[in-house]
Amino acid sequence: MSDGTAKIKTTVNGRQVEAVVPVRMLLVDFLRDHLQLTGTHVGCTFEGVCGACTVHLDGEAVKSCMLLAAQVCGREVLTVEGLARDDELHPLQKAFQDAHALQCGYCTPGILMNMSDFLKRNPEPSENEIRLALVGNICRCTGYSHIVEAVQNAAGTMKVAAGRSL
Amino acid sequence: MFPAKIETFSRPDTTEQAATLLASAGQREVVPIAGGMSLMQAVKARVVRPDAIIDLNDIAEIKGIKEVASGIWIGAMTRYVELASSELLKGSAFGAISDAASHVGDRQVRNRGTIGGSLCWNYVAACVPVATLALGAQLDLSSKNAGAIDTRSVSIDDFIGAPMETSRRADEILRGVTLSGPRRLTGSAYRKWGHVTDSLPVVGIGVRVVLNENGACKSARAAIGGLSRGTQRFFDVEKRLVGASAKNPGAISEAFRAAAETVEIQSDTWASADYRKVLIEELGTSVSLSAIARAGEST
Repeated sequence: MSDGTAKIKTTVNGRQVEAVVPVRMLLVDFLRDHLQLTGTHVGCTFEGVCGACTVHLDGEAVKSCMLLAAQVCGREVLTVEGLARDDELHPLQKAFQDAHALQCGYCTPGILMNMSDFLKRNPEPSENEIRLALVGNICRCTGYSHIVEAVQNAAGTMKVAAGRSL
Repeated sequence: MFPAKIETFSRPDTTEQAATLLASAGQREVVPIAGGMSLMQAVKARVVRPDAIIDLNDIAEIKGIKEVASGIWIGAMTRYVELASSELLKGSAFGAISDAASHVGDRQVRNRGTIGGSLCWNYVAACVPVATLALGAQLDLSSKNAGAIDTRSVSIDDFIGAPMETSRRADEILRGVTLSGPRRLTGSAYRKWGHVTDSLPVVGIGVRVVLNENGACKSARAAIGGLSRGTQRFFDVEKRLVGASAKNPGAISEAFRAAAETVEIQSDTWASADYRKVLIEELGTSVSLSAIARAGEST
């Protein structure tokens, strides 16, 4: 189409979605404004510096303000709303709750999405590795120490769970 | 920060389709997008206002890292995350590329950003162009001309221009980067310094050394970034590093200290010229020692 719109078919949190959107629409706006998935946050002015808009694209953590919605046609997007399984929180969500790893909570969805991808690739991270992996997510409340602790705890829980399912 | 109106968006499957779309651009601004980690910023700030965007992310033929007859070929659409963890590159004669890729931004950016995008953007302060220039590389570019595909090969020295400029023509798609040259007794490394972990380099230095049998540097290539002239060869230090060895780090520091006097170094909000000189000496010494150590391990 050359009228400034694009037709997209994509999977968001396991659900098929079809829409005609402006080519210039950012993925984060598509998720928030079009699909009402407002768990994905915008913490900076769409400059890609805060990480609050992090989602998974085909399983990889990316910042949704750095992509056009048209770019996810045919791909799979997972947002924070899709992280829990039915009523069971993702181990990271549970660990954040238990370790009090959030205060205002604005950065939390982005951190959960980044860390859930990170722990898949590095199931037994050191504290330093966790801190380096968090570089793209800005938190202005916690000072990060409880976040790091929660990620460590979640890694432990997920390891135990993986052991059980063997 | 929202993009201005973009008329069309396309996602070709092959380089030829992408080149065909570029060839038919006419007066319209048709912009290929790779990872988009820099370009999208410019599009959102409306510094770049494309009429059409060609998304290169579906072109499988320009992804991946593989051994070829002339060396190691890296597809232009290969992402930083793959470069940073590639067993073919890491710690080898071409390790500077892995070092640079692992220095870029944060992990969300490294999941998306590509070597080709970084080279074509050639930002004034960037890691991957410096590392590629330090290694020496051939770049292959394709365009569509009178119904046929034209491919040409350009050296990285001829490709990198002033900041934000390259010798890529507007109708060309960068296909890949070939790293060649010796591997035995050869090592390379890259390091940057920035104010925070994910910031752009205030200074970034890449060095490749080839050692003689005694562990002394027989020849060197070096490049520097973060200066106002952008990514550039660091010719003077290349000459001064000949004969250097891990036994005498002081001589390496002296080489960088003296060579820093031969390049134009600006003072800006990030660092004074004097501080940049300190960084050049410190980073240069550590990068050279890493490159020499890697060369010593390569057989």
